[in-house]
Order: sequence, then structure tokens, then C-alpha cells
Amino acid sequence: MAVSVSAKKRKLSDGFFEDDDKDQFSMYVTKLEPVLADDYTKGVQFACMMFVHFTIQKQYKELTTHLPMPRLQHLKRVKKDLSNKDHPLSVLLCPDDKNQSSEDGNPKPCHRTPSLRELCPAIDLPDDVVGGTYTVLVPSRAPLTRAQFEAASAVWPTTFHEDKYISRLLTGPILTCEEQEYAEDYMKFAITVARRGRQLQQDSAGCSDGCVIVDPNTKKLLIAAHPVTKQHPLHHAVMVAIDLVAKQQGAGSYTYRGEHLFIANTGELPAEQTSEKTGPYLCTGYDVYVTAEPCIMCSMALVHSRIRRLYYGDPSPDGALGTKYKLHTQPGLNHKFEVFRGLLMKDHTVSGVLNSSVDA
Amino acid sequence: MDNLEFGACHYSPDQEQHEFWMEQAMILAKDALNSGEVPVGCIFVYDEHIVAKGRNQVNMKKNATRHAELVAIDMLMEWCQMKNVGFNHVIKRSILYVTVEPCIMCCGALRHLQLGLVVYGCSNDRFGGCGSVLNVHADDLTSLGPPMKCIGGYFGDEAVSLLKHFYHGENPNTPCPKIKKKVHGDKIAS
Repeated sequence: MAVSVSAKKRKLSDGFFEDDDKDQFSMYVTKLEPVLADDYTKGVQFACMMFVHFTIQKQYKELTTHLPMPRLQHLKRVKKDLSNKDHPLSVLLCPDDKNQSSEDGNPKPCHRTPSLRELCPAIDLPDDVVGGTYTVLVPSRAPLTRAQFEAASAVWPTTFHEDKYISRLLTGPILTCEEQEYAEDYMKFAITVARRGRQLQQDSAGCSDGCVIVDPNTKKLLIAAHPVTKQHPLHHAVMVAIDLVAKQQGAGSYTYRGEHLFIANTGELPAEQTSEKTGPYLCTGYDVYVTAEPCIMCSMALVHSRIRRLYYGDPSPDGALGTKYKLHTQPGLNHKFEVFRGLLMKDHTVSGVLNSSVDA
Repeated sequence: MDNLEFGACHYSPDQEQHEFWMEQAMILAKDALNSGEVPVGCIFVYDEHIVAKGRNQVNMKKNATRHAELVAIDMLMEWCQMKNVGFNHVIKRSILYVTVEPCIMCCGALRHLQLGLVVYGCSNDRFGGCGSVLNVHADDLTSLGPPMKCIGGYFGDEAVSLLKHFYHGENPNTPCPKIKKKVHGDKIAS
């Protein structure tokens, strides 16, 4: 195992790592987690519904045709309660707009609940089949995760169409062993570039101090960059890396001298080819590795650049990919990408070691 | 001069002057359109003078971050170096006239630099960071400093018609839509 990693490292980095870089990763740990839209992480939301006590399974169909519930398709119409001998079925009727859901999770009736006959005179059922009508709180949104499904089902029978991919992200492992080995190697490269940047006394005013861009199809490390904020206050590592990709494609805007930036030689991309529509377009399909969560400027720059996926180590106080915003899931934007955090994050159990060795 | 209205700006233009400066920005937006770029243009006004200007260069530079505002910021830095004045001092006292509401990225950048005031034309429903999609100018972001002042609605209709003109044509640099290659794990979790 150790042999394969070091062989791969040589392949990845073309001798970028030096002997004194090898021991600097001991204070980092990987606790990978997906940064999903709030819809995936929030708890059950409730809506007030009226239901009726009922006796016979067959005849509730009459209710569903007269009282359709198009916006609550995730709810099962019938809940069985065998302890209720007279009316073992509870059948949902319609939203109860007059009742507001209360904060303690119980409905607070503020008006008399109308009888089924008053609600829907067209329904003609014998009196002995129908019991009283009541108000109940039910889950208002279709569950997106198994945890939401279980919480919702405890309230009212709910259907769940499991998204296998999301479930895998939530339960893990997110990456295979080999994928994680690669991902950590890319991040080690980002950490090393960050260190080189600090040696050049670039203050780390940028949001993250190291950024690596990879083409996941070829596994080729394309770009590594650190912030150049001493030269330009907006040249955070991500902004520098994006322009180096442009440079790799035969254009770009910034000029640097003497920085420890890395541009892979992509010989197969002659300038005349990239101007045609077959060439790479911005950072489409690329994966980005940053040491810390990017700020709002860098995050939107990555949306504009159409990356596929971003990994970061530690969250940032004003970070835009999980902390202050979740820009990668922002409704209305023309591009979305995946975000995973906790890849080689600083291990705070050895933070004393960290401070003494990283700042050295 | 009364400088309370625009924070650190020493220059407080009236309505007519706002319109005059916005016309200058509009000329740059038209230049962008003629060059096959998304038609957005901007100028920085400092001490009653245009000190920097920019227009979109995304396609030319193959860099999606080369928006008019960031191009103009680079020019403003050069101007400050040439005149040997502090960039931070100048940008805090400058007004940016931009034909379209700055996007989320540019709004973050401008607030980061603590720009005095943004005056824009039309709102930007797709990417706007000054209220349309997010409120980057005003949200509580300690590392970006205090909120940034923004005024919209100057020559908004002209700015919109330029954008419509552009998007009716084709962005010459976007790739032809092709059948998506299935990459392992290639899925957007959102």
C-alpha cells in the first residue's frame, strides 16, 4: 500500500514534493461529508389536515375521488389504528387551512371541525361507516432522505422514493479506497502549495491558501495555486487557479513572476484547437481541491467556471459552500456542483502540534 | 462637500450626473457586444473623473471571472500605481457605474475592497448579488467588512435591451450541446 501511494505521488506531482514536505500531513484527518442543500438536512415540516374515522377499507375510495390531494402525493390516505374497534381507519380528507400548526407539534383546533357531510355533500355513505372528523398534523413535504422518511412515517404513513446516490453520500463510504487515496493526494498537493505560498510571505488574506484543479476523467492534476494577495487583494488561490486554467487553454489574464504555481503541461491542447467548440470550455467537468471553504467571491467564480465537484478541508467563518451560504445548491443559478468537506481537515486534537509546525 | 450620503465618497453626484456617468458605462457595454461578449460595461469615478473602465472579457480570456467589474478593478490598480496613490484609499472613495447589477462574485469582490458606492442599470435576475439572487452587499459577512451601498435603475431598459440582443444571438464560445458522458459518481446532489 505504502509503495503504491508513493509511486502514485511521484506520478501526480512530477517531483513537486520535497523530503521536508513528507511529515507535514500528520496533523490532518479526513472526515468526509457531503454539503447538501438544506432540503436534505432539515427536519419534518408539518401541515394541518382534516381526517375522518372510517370503518371499511373498500369504501374510502369514494373519498379519494371526491377529495383529491394533488399537492400531498407523498402521504398515504389511510392510517390503520386497530385499537379503535369501531373505526379502525383514519382517512385524510383535505387541508385544514383554518388551523395553524402550533410550535409544540400538536394541532390546536380553533374552530369546530365540520362533519364529512358538511365538507363534501356529494359523498353518500351510510352513517355507520363514517365516524367523526378531526384535525391532525402531517408531514408537508415528500421525504428526501431515509432519516426524513423515518421521522415522517412516525407521524403519518408516508411514501418514499429513495435516491440511492444521496443515500450512499449520507451513509457512506462516499469514495472508494482508491478514490479517497487520490483525493487525499490532490489535497496534499494543495496543502504543500499553500505552504510554498506562505514561504513567499504571501499573507493568507484569501479564503483558502491552496487550490488544486484536476480533470477527473484523466486523473491529471492540471493546476495548483496559492493566494497572490500581496500583489492583488482579489487574487485568492481559487481566482489564481481559474486564470491558470485559462492560461493552459491558451488565454488568461494575470502575470506572475517567481510564485510557486503549478501548471501541468497539457500538450494535447494546442491553442487553435481550444478556440473550436470541441476544446475544453472554462473548468467544465473539473474537480477542485481547496484547503479551506471558499469565500462568496471564489465560490461564485467556481459556479461561473462550471466545475463538477469541490472538496475542502476546514470550514471558514464566512464560507459560501456550507457555512454562510450553500451557493452550489442555490436555486435560480445556471450551474450547480457537488461539495464535500472534511478532506484532510486540521485535526484539532493535535492543534498544538499544528500551530508550531505549520506556522514555522 | 457633504459626503454623508455615500459613505467615504467625497463626490456626491446628482441625478443628472449619475445619468451622465452611466452613459459612459453603456458605451463600454456596447463595445463588449460588438466583440461577442456579454454586454456589460462599467467605469470607476473618483474625484469627479473616470479613473478606470472595463467591459466583459470572458470569451477573449477564456476565464469566466473576467467580468467588467474585475477588469476595471485591475485597471484601477494600475492607475493608482501610476499616480502613486493608495488603492485602498481610492476605491473606498470611488463610485462604480455598471450597466447591470454586479453578480454574486463581483459583489463579493467589491465589498471585499470596501467600494464607496455602486450605481447600476438593470437588475440581474440570473446572478445578481445586490439583492436579485443574494444580498451579498448587505448580509452579515464580517470578513468582508461593512455593507456596501447600491443604487439601481439608471438606464436599466437600455442595459436589458443590449442583453436581449446578445442572448438572441449565440454565445460563440459555449460548446455545442452533446450527449453527456456518464462519469462514475457524476451527479449533482442538490
